[in-house]
Amino acid sequence: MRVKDFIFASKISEVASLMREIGDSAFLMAGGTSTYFIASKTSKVAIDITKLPLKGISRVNDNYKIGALTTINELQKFKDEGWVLDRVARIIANQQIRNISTIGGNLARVFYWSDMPVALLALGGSLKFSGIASRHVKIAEVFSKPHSHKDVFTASILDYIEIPAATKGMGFSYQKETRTYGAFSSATAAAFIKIEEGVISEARVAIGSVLPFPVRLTDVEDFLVGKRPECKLLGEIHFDKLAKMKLMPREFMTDEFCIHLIKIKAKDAICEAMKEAMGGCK
Amino acid sequence: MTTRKISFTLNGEHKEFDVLPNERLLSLLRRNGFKGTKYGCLEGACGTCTVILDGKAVNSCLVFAFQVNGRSVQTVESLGIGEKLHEIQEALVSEGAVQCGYCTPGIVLSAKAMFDENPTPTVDEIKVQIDGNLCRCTGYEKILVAIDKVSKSHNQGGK
Repeated sequence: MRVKDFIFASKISEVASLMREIGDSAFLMAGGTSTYFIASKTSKVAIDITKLPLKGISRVNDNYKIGALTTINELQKFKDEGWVLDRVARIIANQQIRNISTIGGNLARVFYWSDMPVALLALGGSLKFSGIASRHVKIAEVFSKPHSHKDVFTASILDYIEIPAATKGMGFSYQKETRTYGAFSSATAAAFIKIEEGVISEARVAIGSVLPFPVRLTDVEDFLVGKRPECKLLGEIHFDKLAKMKLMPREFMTDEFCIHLIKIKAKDAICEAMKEAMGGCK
Repeated sequence: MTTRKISFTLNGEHKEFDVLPNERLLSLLRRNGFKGTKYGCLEGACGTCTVILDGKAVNSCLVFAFQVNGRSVQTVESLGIGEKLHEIQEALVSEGAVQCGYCTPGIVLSAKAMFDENPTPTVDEIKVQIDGNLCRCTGYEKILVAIDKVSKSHNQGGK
């Protein structure tokens, strides 16, 4: 992406009016590490939002509130009992990129190898937007279709992300396959499992990288809910929805290998999340 | 496209530069003589262009020059005084962790950013910190030994 001009903004209200004024050429930017990979026919006016007060992680009751400009490194370094995003952050790109890349940027510009959308689809929670169209939207709703995502991100400024804190009986796992260390993902899967009275009461499974846009495997989730969390369950998952999806294999992967790889990653994620929900690991 | 003026602290000195909106920090530094910052992959994968921005190691190839306006940048030229090397550079030399040397400035700065934050990192923490610095010569073992040597010297009161 080419930048034809740049503006520094320090208030959300200022950004909103700049977006209105500049229109389609406006490009919000904080870390900016994704700009290299964005194909754009026209040059953009970069609005540098690094100085907006949208940083930091705090726990509010059973949720974590994460400012949109919190860097991946800050997610990686944050420690708290119910915090799980450090596991995702730790395996994103390399330390130099984690130091400057923000969670907001990771969610706003979804590449098919993107990490955070897959992790957050499994974790659940919501996104708070302000600016032109102020609203609170469920993560699942934002990522339901590429155009829903585009609509909400082009009209508004992501303020913060809210995710649930993991408590007893909950498990989360994020699995990713890359060709080399720090490379873009070839297959990504994340799972969230909640166990109550010995059975799975809540399940969210999301996949990415092998598809143009991350998705939740709702058929797999429906299959898991109500079952006892046992190893044999993994062999009984059918992935019917996945079989009908349009794949986007990377780096010379065949469709067959792509499906095989993502099934393994999804099963690994479900297995690890079940183990954690049962108190097996953390 | 016209140039715009930006200013930032470079190696402890306040500087002003004319930059093109689309110019990357790597290009700005090199055209102003700071050639210790190397051209590599130009997509954030190799770490040879690493600089320290506000205390954190970043890839200067991915950062637009205008993004550092009002901030603080440190390049490898700021380390060592004359013939006297910085302790990280000295450790890399004494442990034989430098071969062709192209990746070395980036590794030195990644390690420097880490030590500024945590003077006594563990080997695992060192591995995380330099995971974005590729070296095609050494196989990393000697680099890890050298950086760990600095960490151990801090642990024994060296810093």
